[in-house]
Amino acid sequence: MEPDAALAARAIAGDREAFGALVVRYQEPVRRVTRAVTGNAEDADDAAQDAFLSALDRLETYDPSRPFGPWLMRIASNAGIDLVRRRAVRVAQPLETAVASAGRSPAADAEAAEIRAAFAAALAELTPRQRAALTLFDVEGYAHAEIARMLRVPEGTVRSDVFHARRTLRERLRLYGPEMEA
Amino acid sequence: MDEHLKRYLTPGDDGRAFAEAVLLRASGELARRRQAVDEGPTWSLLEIWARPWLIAALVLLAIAVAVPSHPWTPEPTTAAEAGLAVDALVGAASESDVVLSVALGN
Repeated sequence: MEPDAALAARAIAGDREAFGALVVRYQEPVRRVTRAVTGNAEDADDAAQDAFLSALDRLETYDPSRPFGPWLMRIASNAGIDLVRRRAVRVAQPLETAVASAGRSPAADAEAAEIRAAFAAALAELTPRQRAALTLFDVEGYAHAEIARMLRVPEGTVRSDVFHARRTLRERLRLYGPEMEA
Repeated sequence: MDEHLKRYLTPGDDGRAFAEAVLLRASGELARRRQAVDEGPTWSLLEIWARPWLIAALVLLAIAVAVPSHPWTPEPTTAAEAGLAVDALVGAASESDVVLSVALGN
């Protein structure tokens, strides 16, 4: 697999295939973060597309000696937060996911739909920055310090955001069993 | 909970349509970058700023070379004056030769 830095160098020269490879490689985590921040699949994909285009615009500022992921996720988080600030607040809708109805019983589908609704409601209670911090930490596995650099806030703020977001989600999802409280 | 959250946030598609949409929107910028590479290096901001100064400096240098260094010194009008000037030059040259030979001797 071609390293990110090599793909970025080719993309700087306008190589469509190299830029496409970076998009395919990072579309999932980028879209996860923008979905968490915006709470809406349509807005999330708009923000994620803006993030990739913005990354292409400023590829020259990427330091190839450092990992590409955090650099891109910083742009993606900010694209999501900016979009939420610019647009009117929409009612949080449960996101459509791959596991929505994968051949399960109606009862299981109903519970999955309830859980999605509970996630949507819990995330809606958080600020866009808290949603970004939670996703970057719990889902994408970045460290507090890295997230602080991405969101340009002190590390203590990230710790507080993640703590508050986890507590909110745990309270909202308590009804769905102990695995949701872990 | 982390795993549930990850599943909740992960899009249900394979990302191909998304990638195509990004590439479509990026096509102009990618083409611009390819063109820039094909055309070779362009003037940077510093170079753009420095270019007029560089040209002005070259023009001034050309003027300085073209104009005699002491235009107010009158040209020798008679053969005698010209001869004196030549003598002075020869004398100056021989003095420097002496200095050079002394320096080499040391």
